[in-house]
Amino acid sequence: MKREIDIEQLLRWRMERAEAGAPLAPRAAHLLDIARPWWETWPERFESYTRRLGALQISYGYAMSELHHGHTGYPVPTLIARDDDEFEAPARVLYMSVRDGRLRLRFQIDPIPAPDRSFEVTFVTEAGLRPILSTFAELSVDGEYRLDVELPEELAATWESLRVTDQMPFRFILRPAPITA
Amino acid sequence: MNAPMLSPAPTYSRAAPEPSGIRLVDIESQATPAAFPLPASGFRRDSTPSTWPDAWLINAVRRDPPDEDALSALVDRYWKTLFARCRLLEHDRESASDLAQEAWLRVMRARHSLEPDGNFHGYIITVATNLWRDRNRVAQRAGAAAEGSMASLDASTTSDGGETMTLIDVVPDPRTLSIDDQILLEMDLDQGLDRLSPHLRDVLLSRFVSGESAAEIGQRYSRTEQTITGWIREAVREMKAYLTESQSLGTRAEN
Repeated sequence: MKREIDIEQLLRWRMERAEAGAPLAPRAAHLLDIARPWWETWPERFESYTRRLGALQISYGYAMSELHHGHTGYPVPTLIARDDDEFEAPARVLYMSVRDGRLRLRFQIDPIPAPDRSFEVTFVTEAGLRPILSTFAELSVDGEYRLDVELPEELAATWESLRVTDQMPFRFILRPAPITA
Repeated sequence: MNAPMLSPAPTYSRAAPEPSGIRLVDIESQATPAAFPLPASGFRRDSTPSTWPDAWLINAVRRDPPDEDALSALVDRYWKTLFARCRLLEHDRESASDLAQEAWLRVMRARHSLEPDGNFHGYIITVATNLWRDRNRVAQRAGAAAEGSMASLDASTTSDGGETMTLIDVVPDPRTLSIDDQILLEMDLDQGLDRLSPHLRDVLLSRFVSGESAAEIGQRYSRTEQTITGWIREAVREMKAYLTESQSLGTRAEN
């Protein structure tokens, strides 16, 4: 026997089937574990990075003032932290926009560290060097790192008025992103 | 140049107030639910988090450190429906499970901004859908094959206006089918969805599963309502064509 059926009913039927056959829910402990940011998992490592990041203003003061004369905005003090190596390299913010609660940002590191096609970018407050955000940035064909991330409400409201020519209220810790398929 | 398809941060719609008129957000600092004033009637307090209302669970998850039992109850409560929605978006069960878990991770990372009074179910579905959209957007930017897909976004699909969303001549009512035939129909439906381009799949699900209007979908894509209506019809047409082609369905339709 046929009864009239439309696409909506068909999709809902499929959803019911999927619901009935859903795998077990992940355990809360597992979710809590993998949701924890790296600076909570390795606080000593974070502290070591921020110590070095905090000192950047002194060692990079001149270079940064030089960079500031370029057409881009203030350089952002940046620490690139690999497993076996750490080095400093100011990042030039080329574009920054906060709209609809999302941050879109493009930056350049000079020289570009060749092996790192993507970084996990940790935003650290300029004042107090506290971690505030972590996301991933991909290297584009133009040699720029690009990121696009949803911001917490408070941060979005605060950063919405920031322009690329403003001094950024953050510093970066860049960690090479794990390679994914 | 195509306008970027944005996935705005999901926002809460306010849930209906508790029967007692209590705003749970106002007492979010409560250390234990025991101190929470209960509705006058119709609700029995229980010490098991699985029986707590969403607002209690969310309050407990927002705390530092989050309450593991409350999180567990919240995950259990919404896991199946979240997975089901992800299954319609993704091409296989494993990807759907990964997407659902990733949505939970996002929620956990933003847990301090969760609103106990909000519609949590709608929120986590939106988080998962936005994740899926973002991935497709990145893939379209990067992939060579994306050129064709993106070009089709600008092609206004003409609508003959007479297209019906009814599939009576193609698909029998699934509930009238044998278990085996239901499995085959499920596979056909999954394959039909997989053949749709991401934007057609998205508009189809947004319209018929999420219940968004063409105008609402159009806002997200920066397209007119008419264009979106065209895409929806195109998606239905493609689904219908695929289901008609399907040998197994053809056989069933004859029975």
